[in-house]
Amino acid sequence: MRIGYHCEGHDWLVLHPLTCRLLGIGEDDAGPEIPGMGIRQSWPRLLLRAHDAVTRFLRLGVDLIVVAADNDGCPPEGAAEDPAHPRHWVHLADAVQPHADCRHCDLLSATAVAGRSPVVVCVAVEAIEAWLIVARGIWLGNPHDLTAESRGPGLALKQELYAASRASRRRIEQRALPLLAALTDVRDIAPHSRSFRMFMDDIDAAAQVLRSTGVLP
Amino acid sequence: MIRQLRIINYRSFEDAEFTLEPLTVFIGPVGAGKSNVLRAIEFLANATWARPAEAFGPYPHDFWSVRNRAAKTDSEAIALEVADAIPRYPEEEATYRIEMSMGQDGPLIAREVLHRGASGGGPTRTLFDRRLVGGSSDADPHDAPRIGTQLRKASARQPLSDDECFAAHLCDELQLIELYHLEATALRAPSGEGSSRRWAAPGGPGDNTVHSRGALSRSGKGLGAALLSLRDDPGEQAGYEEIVTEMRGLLPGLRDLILAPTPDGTAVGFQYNGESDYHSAFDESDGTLFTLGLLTIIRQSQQPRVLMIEEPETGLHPGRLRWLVDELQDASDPPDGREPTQVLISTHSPYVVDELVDMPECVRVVERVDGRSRVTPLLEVLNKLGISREELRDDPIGSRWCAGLLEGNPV
Repeated sequence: MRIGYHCEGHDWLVLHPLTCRLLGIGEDDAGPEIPGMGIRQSWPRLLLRAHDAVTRFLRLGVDLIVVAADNDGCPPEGAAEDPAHPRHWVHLADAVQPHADCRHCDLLSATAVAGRSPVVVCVAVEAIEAWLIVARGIWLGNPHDLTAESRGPGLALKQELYAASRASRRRIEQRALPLLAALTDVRDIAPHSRSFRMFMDDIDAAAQVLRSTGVLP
Repeated sequence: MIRQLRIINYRSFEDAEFTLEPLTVFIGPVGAGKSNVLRAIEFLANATWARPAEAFGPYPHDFWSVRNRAAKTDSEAIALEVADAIPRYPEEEATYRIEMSMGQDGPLIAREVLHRGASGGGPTRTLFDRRLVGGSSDADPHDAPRIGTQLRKASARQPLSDDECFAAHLCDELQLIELYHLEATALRAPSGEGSSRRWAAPGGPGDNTVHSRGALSRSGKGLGAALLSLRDDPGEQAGYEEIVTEMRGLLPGLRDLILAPTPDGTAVGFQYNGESDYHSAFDESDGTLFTLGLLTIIRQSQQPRVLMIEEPETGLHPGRLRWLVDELQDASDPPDGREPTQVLISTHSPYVVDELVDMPECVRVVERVDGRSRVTPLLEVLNKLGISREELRDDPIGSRWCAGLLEGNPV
């Protein structure tokens, strides 16, 4: 099985073990495809290239595509958040852009490409580091860590996790991945993070498709 | 770590003062003076140890060649001032200044000052202030500076006072500085073992400047010999294995590196799976050799205190640039408890700069204004343009740089 990741920087290093464990497969059983891993993907660049990345993955015959971004942007003024959908704004009737500032909606729209492989759009709130800090909280029994998703901003979470404002690959491998490895079940993150819950639900839905096509047993 | 640097009358600098970070990235137009910052630091390292006649060198490294052309009188000195945090004295900071001018008998030290104070701007104490020209000191201005003399005394195990120890440690810090500007031709050349030197003399051709911890020259000559010394040194073998592993990741099918003796020295070869003979360095791409050269610099266990690399992105595929910044960041702020190395680089790559979007305090913009180099922290430039750090996340530094927004702004 092959999983394609279109995401920012090294986020695929965290997404790959999470995806594999949610699918119930070993990391070595699923080769990650990571185009553009050498260039930092800002949000506009990531969105701009999402359609082409998905199209390329489909041509490569990748079995599952994960398109991921952090959602550390500021909410639009006066917008109300959908309670079931973090950082998805209840759109105003008179809005010129119906999905303005909703990264999840933007990515869903950009990645709507016809193909047999499921596409999972993942928008971590505020950043994927929040999920990792929650994992640390579960592992160490630290209740403060469990509130990471609502604490933001993403840069502060990164600083807290890595003791640096930029996460190098070695830092992620040394400080983040062991937190996930220490969890008996990564699904335990879901009660503490709505964005992870959405990701988990979407991976579960994708798993059903993959089972129906025989990719997953 | 060098926290602050002031450069007066050196090359393109008339008088500029700026801070440095554990990782500092200099950007700016061609000819702005980025390389001159790194050269100034290297020159300072030499000037603190050697006699003035040796710190300079023959043309084009002599006093008149490296002094700023805007100097108005013959007596105007080159001055370098550095504020340095010495690991041995974590609560303190040294401020050292050396002024060098030209006398009838050659270059000389006009003044040398060392202050010792609490870090973070506390009170300071003057350990010495030697005015060798126009002052009362009867010391020979053509002799080596006092700070280097303290280190020599320490090396000879002569008894030193606490302040002399402090000076010797500062001098030692400033000796552990390396400057690289890798060139593909030099990296390909087989070479002998090289002769390790205590310090790098700028007087000779840059290609032959060999750093003390290995055989690799500034331009990358001696790559084979440097790798051989890593492979055969029990303390460096782990680093050598990391280099080979990284190269296997870069070159699919690579089985091993071959370090082959040739009449000209040790040559680097590349052995691929399923092939009976190896490829010489001449068969490999520039990007392969630049990566191998960078790995050889970075993955040695004995790192300098200050590592300076000019345009380290040269020849690298864009897909390796994040790796490059990772390596430089980890060297300057090791996640695993190793001793940090201050890293200073110049770059022309917007992608390298984009990688620093979460650490914009690392970036310095170097420009020439009215013929004189100036160094401005990127955050200051952004502040004047009304651009917040948060806005960089959506439109990172590199693309703004390419759009011409970061240069040519009024001070």
